[in-house]
Amino acid sequence: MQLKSSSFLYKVRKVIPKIILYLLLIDGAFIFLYPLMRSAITSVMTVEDYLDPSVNWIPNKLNFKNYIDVLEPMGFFNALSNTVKMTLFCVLGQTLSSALVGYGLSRGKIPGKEIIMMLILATLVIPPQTLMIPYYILYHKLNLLDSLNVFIIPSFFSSGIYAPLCIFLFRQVFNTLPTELEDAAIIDGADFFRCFWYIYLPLSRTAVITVGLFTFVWYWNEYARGIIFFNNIRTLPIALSLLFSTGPEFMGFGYTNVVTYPMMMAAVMLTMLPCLILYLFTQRYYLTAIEQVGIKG
Amino acid sequence: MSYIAISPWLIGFAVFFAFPLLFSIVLSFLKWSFNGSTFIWLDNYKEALFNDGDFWYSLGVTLGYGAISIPFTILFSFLLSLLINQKVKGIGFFRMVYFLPVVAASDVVVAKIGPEIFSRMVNVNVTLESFGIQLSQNMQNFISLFSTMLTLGLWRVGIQMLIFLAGLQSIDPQVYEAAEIDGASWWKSLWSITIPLLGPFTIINIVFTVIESFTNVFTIARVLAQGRSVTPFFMDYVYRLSFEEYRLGYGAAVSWIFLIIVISVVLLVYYYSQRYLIPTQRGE
Repeated sequence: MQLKSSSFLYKVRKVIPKIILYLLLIDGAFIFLYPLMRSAITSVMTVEDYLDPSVNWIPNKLNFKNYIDVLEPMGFFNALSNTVKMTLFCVLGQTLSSALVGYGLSRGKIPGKEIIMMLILATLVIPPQTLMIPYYILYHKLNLLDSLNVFIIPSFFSSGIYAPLCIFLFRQVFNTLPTELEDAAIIDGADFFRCFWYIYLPLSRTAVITVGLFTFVWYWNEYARGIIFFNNIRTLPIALSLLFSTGPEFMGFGYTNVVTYPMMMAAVMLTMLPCLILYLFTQRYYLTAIEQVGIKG
Repeated sequence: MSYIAISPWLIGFAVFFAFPLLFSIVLSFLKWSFNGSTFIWLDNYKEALFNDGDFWYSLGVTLGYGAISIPFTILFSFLLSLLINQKVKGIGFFRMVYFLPVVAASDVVVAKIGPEIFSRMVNVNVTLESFGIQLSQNMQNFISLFSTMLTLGLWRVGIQMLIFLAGLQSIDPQVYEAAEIDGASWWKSLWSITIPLLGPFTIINIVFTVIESFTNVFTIARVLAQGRSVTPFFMDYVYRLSFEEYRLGYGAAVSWIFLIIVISVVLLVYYYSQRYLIPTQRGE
């Protein structure tokens, strides 16, 4: 009897922290998902449902018309094709160039490559806006303003968004691969670039995918530079930011027209959906990115 | 050969970094216009430092935002990382969800869904009113912008959280076992094992957050204000100067002052956090 009750107590003492832990985790998950769930729900609401305070989570009527109605004012297909074009080219450029540079800094015989790596990382500290003004004048003179090239060209010269982090990741990953591979290949007659292309790049497939995926998200969501360099070109974030921007003031934020709000949420969902789907299928690459870098203080 | 490998970066660094940076120094000494500029040397800087109220105001707001948001971000991401470091069933799902906003919610998306939704979750103005504090409309707008930005920032702490998580997983579990045998409580081992051993990761996190909170708040504030109301953030101020008023020379000068401030803050933070967060090897 004595034994039984104590084992029961033991169980309780083991289970209670678990329950608390799960409650906390679920609570957190709710907080993180709430804004997204809210906008997803609102995007399928009719305006009446949106304004009806008794409708909270379950709309009276599912209204997918918002998604169709918003395509036109947003210029959706034009913006989508621009975004896709820009993103794919930039992913290609950034991944290739940072892999190559990372390889050079890991395996190349360059004096002071540690210092170069530090220098590359240090460029992150410079607020990008300091460089915006010269860029603007430079692109103006080169007649590059208002073309997707303002993003695509730098990405091939490892000067894209967060390129230093990509270079760093590649360097770290290449550093962990054994040098014997290279020595063996060189004896077999392979040169520096063949080693890179046929041995090291395939071996660091995970890093390639990780960099590609992050770059995809960064460029898909790019706004701050685009709004400066583009006058007529619309990418999805820019189109979204300009959508219904002539509503009445709301809490000093100067928009949110209640009539168009559900449509706005539909536009938000459309903009976000590709990244969301991509993330759901490839989340392990995102979540292990930091481990791949392998920071050791 | 190895120089060819890093040549994309060499070219990119020269063309897209070093040249623009030098160019912007030159610009900051100019009274600039598209049809010809004149050198006025330090006048832009003097103007900004001594004559420009907006400059000081936006600088103050931005530094203040950093001062509030950075500790919150670090603390919050640390707590989250403790939470998702637990080895229980389904933890992968929770990690996925906690990181989701970083990927899915871009700055523009956040700014669009932000005010409506986050003001339902956290409404500082209503709270203040319930304490009987009445504020002017301007002040209320300011507070709602500020608090919305803070909440939005906290919503997207995924990167910092993952950095801490990587730190937590780098700690040898045997250390905890040894502490438990010695009778240390969970709280005690958190303070004497986890936090000291996380030191390097905390530094990386702080530096990252400093940069992030000074430079990247621009976009959200920009979209929130939608060009109509003026946001008090520094980068938005530079943007307005440069690309709306086309005072590019002055804009360059102002952004150089800001650059110097950001770099000194980063260096200070780096120096001090290294002193206090890295366990010193005393007694060895």
